Amino acid sequence: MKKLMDKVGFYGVAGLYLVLFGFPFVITIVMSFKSQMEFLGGNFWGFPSTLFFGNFARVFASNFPRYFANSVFVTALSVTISILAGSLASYAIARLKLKYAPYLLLFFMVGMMIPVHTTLVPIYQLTKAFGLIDSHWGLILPFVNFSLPIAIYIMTSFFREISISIQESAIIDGASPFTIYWKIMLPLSTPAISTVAIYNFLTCWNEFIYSMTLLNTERKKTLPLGIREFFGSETVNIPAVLTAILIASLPIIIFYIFAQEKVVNGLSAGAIKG
Amino acid sequence: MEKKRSASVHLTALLFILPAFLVYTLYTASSIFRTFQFSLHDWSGFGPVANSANIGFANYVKLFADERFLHAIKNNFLLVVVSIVFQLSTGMILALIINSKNKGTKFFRTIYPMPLLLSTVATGILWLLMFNPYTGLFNGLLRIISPDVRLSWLGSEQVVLFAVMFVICWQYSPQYMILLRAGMTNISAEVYEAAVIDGANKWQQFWKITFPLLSGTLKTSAVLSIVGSLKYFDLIWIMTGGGPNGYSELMATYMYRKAFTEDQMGYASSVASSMIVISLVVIIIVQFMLKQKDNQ
Amino acid sequence: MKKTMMIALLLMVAVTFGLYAGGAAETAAKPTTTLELWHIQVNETAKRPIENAVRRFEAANPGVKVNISVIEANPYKTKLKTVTGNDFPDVFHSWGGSWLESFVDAGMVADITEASKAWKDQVSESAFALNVYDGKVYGSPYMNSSTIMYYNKDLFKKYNLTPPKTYSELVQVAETFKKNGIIPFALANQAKWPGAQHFVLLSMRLGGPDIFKRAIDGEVKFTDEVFVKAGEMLQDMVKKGYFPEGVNGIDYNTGGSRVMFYAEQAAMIVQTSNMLSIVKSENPAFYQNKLGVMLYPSIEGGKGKATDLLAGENAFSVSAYAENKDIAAKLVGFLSTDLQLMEEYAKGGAIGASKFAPVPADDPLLRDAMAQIANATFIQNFIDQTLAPELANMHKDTVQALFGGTMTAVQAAQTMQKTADGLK
Repeated sequence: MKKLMDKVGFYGVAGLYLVLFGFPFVITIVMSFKSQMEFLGGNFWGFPSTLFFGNFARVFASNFPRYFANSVFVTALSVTISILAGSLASYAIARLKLKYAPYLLLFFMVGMMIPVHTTLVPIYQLTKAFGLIDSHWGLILPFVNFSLPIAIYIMTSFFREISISIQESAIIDGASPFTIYWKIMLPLSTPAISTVAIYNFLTCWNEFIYSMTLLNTERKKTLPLGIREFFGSETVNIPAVLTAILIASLPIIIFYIFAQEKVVNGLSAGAIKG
Repeated sequence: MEKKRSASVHLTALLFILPAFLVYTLYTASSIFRTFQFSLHDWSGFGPVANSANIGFANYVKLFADERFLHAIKNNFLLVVVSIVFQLSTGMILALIINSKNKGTKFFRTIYPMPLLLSTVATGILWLLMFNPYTGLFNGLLRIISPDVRLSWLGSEQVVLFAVMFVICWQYSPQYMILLRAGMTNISAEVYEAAVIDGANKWQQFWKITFPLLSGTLKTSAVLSIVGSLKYFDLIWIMTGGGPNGYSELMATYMYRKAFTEDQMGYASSVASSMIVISLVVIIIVQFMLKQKDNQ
Repeated sequence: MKKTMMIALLLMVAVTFGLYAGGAAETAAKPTTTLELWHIQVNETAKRPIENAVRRFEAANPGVKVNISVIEANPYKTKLKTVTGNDFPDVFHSWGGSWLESFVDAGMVADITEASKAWKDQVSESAFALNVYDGKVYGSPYMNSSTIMYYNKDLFKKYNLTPPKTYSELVQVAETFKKNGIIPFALANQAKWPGAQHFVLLSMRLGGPDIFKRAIDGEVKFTDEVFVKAGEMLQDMVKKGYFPEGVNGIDYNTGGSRVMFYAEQAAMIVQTSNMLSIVKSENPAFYQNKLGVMLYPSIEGGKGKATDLLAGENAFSVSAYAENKDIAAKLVGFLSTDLQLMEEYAKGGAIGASKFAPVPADDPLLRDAMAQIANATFIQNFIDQTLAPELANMHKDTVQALFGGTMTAVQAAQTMQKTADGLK
C-alpha cells in the first residue's frame, strides 16, 4: 500500500512538472500546423481546425539547409575546441597543485560575469583586425571564448571531486600528467563533459547578436539569423516563426538526448564518490 | 630533484592552460580592459573613442546617483535570491525525478529541459502570448475563478518583475537539473545499498547521502545561478524591454539601452564595468562564506 | 558503443562539410564597382520591390553590382553602430532626424547635396527635409510613413456613426461603442511607441503642430500646459475605458492589438501607415471590406488642425567611407524616384516617397493615406526620431506610465523637463 502511495506521489509530482515544462514544446508543435490567418482569427491555443503545412513549406523553401550546415559547422567546432581547451586548463587548475590556481580560476570566471553586449564593439574590432569579418572562424573564436569560462568552472569543480588516490597510483606507475588527464580524468568526467557540452552547444547554436554583427553574406548566415527572416517589421508570423524554431531546435534536442545517454554511461565508468 | 620536478610541473601546467588562456585573454580579458577604458570617456559610440573627452570617473559618479540604475541593481539582487531559491530547488526535484529508477524517467528526462532547449526567441513569444491580458492563458485560468480578470502581467509596475522572474526560473531550472543529475551519477550505488540495509527511508537517504555528497555540485550551481542572474538580459529584453517605467530593468538591459538606444557608449561601459565588479565582489564573498562553512 | 559513436560523428562531419562546401561557387564576371546596401524592409511587400529596383539599376549601370542585406530594425541599429570603416555599408537605411544626425556628426555620412539636385524636386519635400542638416543633404527618402487613425467601417455603419472630425465627436462615438460592449481604441503599448502617438497627436492638436519643435528649441518647456493638458486628456480617455485594460502588457508585434481590431472587439486603432501593408498581407479580407482610414480629430479650442500630420520617412544615405560615392548617390536617387518601384510598393500597401508615385485606382485605402500626406498642413517627424535619444526614451517611458496611471500628467511633464535639462 505504501509503495502504491509512493508511486502515486511520484507520478503526480513528475506529471505536474511535465505539464509545466513540456507545454511550450506542445504548443510549438500545435502552432506549427496552424495558418497565421487562423491564429489571428482567435484560435490562439486550440488545435488547428485543419492541418496546415504551409509553415513547413515556407521553412524548407528558404535557405534553411545552408544555414543549418553553417550552424552545425560553427557549433561543432566551437564546442569541441572549448571542451578540449577547457578541460586541459581545468585539469591543471584542479590537479597540478599550482599556488596561483584559485586566482586563475577566478580570472576565467570573470568571463561569466561580463554582459555580452559590452564585448560587442571590442570583439568586432578585434575580428576586423584579424581579417576575420564575414568568416566562420571569426565567429568560432569568440564562441570558444564565451564557452570557456563555464566549461572551466564546471569541469574544475568536477575534477576536484575525483578521488586523488586514483591519480596518485597512476603517478607511481609513472604516468605523465597528460596520460592521467587523457586516460583517467576525461573518461571519469563524462557526466561533467556532457553537461558542459549541452550548455555550450545551446549557447553557440542559439547565439544571435555576434552572428548578426560579424557575418554579412547570405550564404554564411547561421540558423538564428535565418529564423529572424521570418520576423516582419512590426509583425511576427507566429506560426511560421515557431515552425522555423522547432525545426532549428531538433539538433539541440537530439544532442541533448545523446549527451544524457553519456551521463548514464559515465555511471558505468565507475562511481567515484561515497 | 624536487626543484626539477617542480619546474617541469610548471611547464606542464603552462602547456595545459595556454590554449584556453590565449583565446580568453585575447577576447574577454581585452574586452574588459577596453570596456573600462571606454567608461572613462564621454563617448557616444560614434567615431573613435580617442576623439572623445576623457572625463575620468565622472561616468561612475553619475551612475551611482542614477535612480534607474540603482533600481536595476535592486532588481538584480532580487533575481539572484529568487533564482537561487527556486531554480536550485526545482532543479533538485527534477534531477531526483529523472535519476529515480521508476518507469518513464527517460521520457521525463527528455521533456523537462524543453524551456532550455527551445530558443529564447520561441519562449519569449510564447510567454508574451501567455501573459496577454485578454487572450493569454494565465488570465484565462484566473477567469475560471473570477470572470472579469484583466490583469496586465507585463504592464503592471507591481506585477511585472514577478512575472518575468517566474519565466526566468522556469527557463533555467532544467539547467540545474542537468548539472545536479550529472553530480548524482557520481554517487556510488553501494552507499545507498548500505543505507537501505541500515533501514534508512528515502527521505533519510536524501538528507544523509545525496544532499551532502552533492554539496560540491550545489555550490557550483549556486555560483552559476548568481552570476547568471547578475548579468541576465534575454527574456527581459524580449518581454518588457525593462519596462514599464524601469520596473523590470536589470543592469544588463540598462546597459544595452544606454549603449545602443541612447548613444551613450561611455556611460554604458561604466554600467558594464560596475556589473563585473559587483559580480566579482559577490562571488568572492560567496566563495569565502562557503569555505568558512566547509572549515567548520 | 564507442565505435557507433565515432561513426555517427564522422558521418555528421562528412554531411556537414558536404553541405558546407557546396554552393560556394562565386559568380565569374568581376564587377567594376560593388555596393553594399543595407535596409530594414523585411516585409515581403517592400523587400521584393526594392530587390527588383536594384536589379533594374544594375542592368542600367553595367559593371555595378549591389549586394543587399535586409536586417530587422532593432538588430540593424545595433549592427550599424558597431561596424566601422570599410565594413560600413555604402548605402544604408536611415530614419533621418536625430537618428541620422548622430552619424552625420561623427562624419560617417557622405554629403550628397550636389548629386541630389538631380532628383530632389521629385520627392516629397517634408520627407526630404528630414535629411538636411545645416543646408547640406545627407540622404533621400524612398518610402513614406505616417500615423493614421484606422477604423472598422462595418462597426461604424452598424451603430450609425461617422468618422469623428473633432474631439467631442470622438467622445460621442467612443461612448456609443462602449455602450455596445466595444472598446473604442485597440492598443498594444508594451513597446511604448504605439501609445505615444496618441499623446503626440493630442499635444499637436492642443498646442499647434510645431509644439514639439518649439519645445526642442527651448521656446516652451516640456512642463508647458499643452503637454500637461495632453497627458490629462490621455488619462481621461484611459479612465473612461477608451482603451483595452492593461495596454502596457499587450505586445504589438505579436498582434496584440490587431487581433482585437480584426475580431471587432475594438473599433479604431492609431498606427503607422506600415499597418496598411501588414493588414493587407495578414488579413486581406479585412483590408478589402472593413478597413477605413481617417485623420486624428482636432480639438475644439486647440491650435492644431486635423490635417496636421505625424509622419516619418524611410531614407537611404551614402557612407562617407564608400569608395564610389557617385554611383552610391545615383542608386539613392534611383530608389527615391523610380516609378516602377513606387508602383510595386503600392501593390503591397506601402507608400513610395516620390511625388509622382502613381495613385492606385483599385486601392481606396492607400489612395486616402497618400492623400493625407499630400494634403497635410504640417508634417511633424515621428517624435522618437526627433528628440535626442535619451529624451526620446524618456518620452516613451512617461507616456507609458500615463497609460498605466502610475504617473500624473504633471509628473510626466516634469520628468521630461528634468531629462531635457540634464542633456544641456
